[in-house]
Amino acid sequence: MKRALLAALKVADRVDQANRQLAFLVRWGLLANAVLIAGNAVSRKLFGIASSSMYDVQPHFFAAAVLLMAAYTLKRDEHVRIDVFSGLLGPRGMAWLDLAGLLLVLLPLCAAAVWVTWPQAVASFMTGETRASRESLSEFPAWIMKGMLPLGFFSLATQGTAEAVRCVAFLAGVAPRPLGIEHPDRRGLA
Amino acid sequence: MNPELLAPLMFTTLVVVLLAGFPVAFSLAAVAAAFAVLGVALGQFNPPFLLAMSLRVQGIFNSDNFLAAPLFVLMGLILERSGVAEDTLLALGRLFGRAPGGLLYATIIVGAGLSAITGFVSASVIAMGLIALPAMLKAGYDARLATGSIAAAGTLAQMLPPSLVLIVLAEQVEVPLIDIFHAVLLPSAMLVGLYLVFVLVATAWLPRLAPPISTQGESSRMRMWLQAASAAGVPLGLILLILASIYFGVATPTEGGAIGVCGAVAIGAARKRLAQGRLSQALTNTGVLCSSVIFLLLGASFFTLVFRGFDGPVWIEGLFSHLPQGQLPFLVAVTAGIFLLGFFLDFFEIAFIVVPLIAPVARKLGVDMVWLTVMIAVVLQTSFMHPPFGIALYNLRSVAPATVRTTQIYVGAIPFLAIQLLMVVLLVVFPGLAATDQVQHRATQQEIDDALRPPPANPVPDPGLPDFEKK
Repeated sequence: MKRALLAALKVADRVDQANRQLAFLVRWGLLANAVLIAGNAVSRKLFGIASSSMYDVQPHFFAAAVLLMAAYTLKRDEHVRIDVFSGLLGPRGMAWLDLAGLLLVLLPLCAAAVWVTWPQAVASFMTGETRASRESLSEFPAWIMKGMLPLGFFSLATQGTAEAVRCVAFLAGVAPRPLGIEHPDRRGLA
Repeated sequence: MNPELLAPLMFTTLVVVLLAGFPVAFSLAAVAAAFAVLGVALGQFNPPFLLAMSLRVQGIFNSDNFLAAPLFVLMGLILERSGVAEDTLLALGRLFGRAPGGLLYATIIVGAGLSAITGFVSASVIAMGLIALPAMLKAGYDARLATGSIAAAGTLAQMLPPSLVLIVLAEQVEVPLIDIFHAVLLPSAMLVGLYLVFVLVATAWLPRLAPPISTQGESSRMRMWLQAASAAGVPLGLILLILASIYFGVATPTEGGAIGVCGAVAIGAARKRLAQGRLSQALTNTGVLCSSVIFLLLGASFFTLVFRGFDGPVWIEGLFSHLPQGQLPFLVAVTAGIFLLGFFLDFFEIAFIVVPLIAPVARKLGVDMVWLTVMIAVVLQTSFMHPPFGIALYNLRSVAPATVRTTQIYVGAIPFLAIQLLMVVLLVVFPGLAATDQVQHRATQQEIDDALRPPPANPVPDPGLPDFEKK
């Protein structure tokens, strides 16, 4: 039992690492997006040039940051909670609560979300659908945005599983549960 | 089971589940999913209704307003992380320090600027608490006055454009963001003005509360002005420039935010302050914040959608029909309710869960939604600095040195609370302070259905889209 849990914890650490690297990659998209939007604005105002494909790239960086950083956000325990009563629970109570929430709420939700969004992304890729709409003549492929949804929920599910393993290990007395260990500092967030 | 009971039951379940303390975003979605399944099993719920969720998701990720949000947050965090905000405060402090209460003016001005950009109460209160509070205590300022002005300036994040809070509210009540920015400018400028006047009066009356700092002689005066102009003038100028270009329609909020980020990076780079992971920390924190906010919104949207499927809005409207007729009782109930909720919920929970429930009722009564948005912002700001539960006071307590007593923080907030209350009264008596020019009319049920329907942001023909009217 203990050996199995320790092995599972190792896998959980790998999951952490993978999701952190993913988050650290897409965060630069936020800066890239600022440069892109500012560039689009300047080229439109000053030179009267506006490329609808360039405008179309803008939401992708935002969607990537939101969806692909969700797992890392879970790891840092930064998804908003109402802690009016949960503060009274103590570490063991919190671990039980989180375990129940992860297994009954988070993982089924992620599974449902992947199940719904994955076929849409695949269909979009297969048909070569573009993001053209009534207002836009964009030729930007639609599957990129649609593909981020299942990917984001999948990565959230892996992180949820890792956290569930940590809850079990803590409740079994195998390992401490470092809640939100990844805050080099929490300033600027709450 | 009586189908009319499902909406109240769903709402009650939500409250119980949320209080358990698991992250709100997922709890909301889980309650919605469970009730959707239950409703289908009982034959009370139309499954194709759920297809609207996919349009809502596309709407969120293609919304210009939400696109602007991370940009302003990022700009604010870069200014804070890189120490530019701190430099600004110190420079202004040196400039005003010789007057009684000089550091207080600096705190309010810099706090307001930082709040406006980050748009996030906790972030700006904590930042100002760490930067300004030690400086003021060291100068012998009264702890009550010092903490009170930090709490007031920090909670301005609720009010000052281009605040994240206003962006989110505009999206929720479906009015153009720029209308909200126009309407809120005067009330928020009045609040800043009133804070400054209060400091002026208090320190003129009791100078020992905030003694002047003795500085070196007149000779360095010129240099001091120059220093202040570069340290404080550049970032404050950038903020004002962006605000003005948005206000006068030169740039959209999104473009303003993007240029602000580029400007903040340029200032940080010129001062060699972006290394050692400061820029990447600002990026990480922005991403984490956006992710948690948008996931909360996704969960809340799903909840609202299923709730509508059970005719929840009809039930909510029924609750309000117990009030006396007219707008005023409705507004009193809503503002009092939001004020109390502000003690327990954070802004985003209120904006995403509560506001969609009351917005249709307000529309039907013909309430000016822009005015209501400004009102919600002021009321929440008040709530967030109201002892003993105000989040700003908690945040301040967590960063204040132990020599500052909690009661001092509470007492310090009182005069600023009085100013807030004055503002609420002014908004009620002179609604023109924050109203639009548009003629208000009572929305019909049809219009509300149209407004609530997910916008066709990306109108890829969706063959399975349900016919809402038939339901």
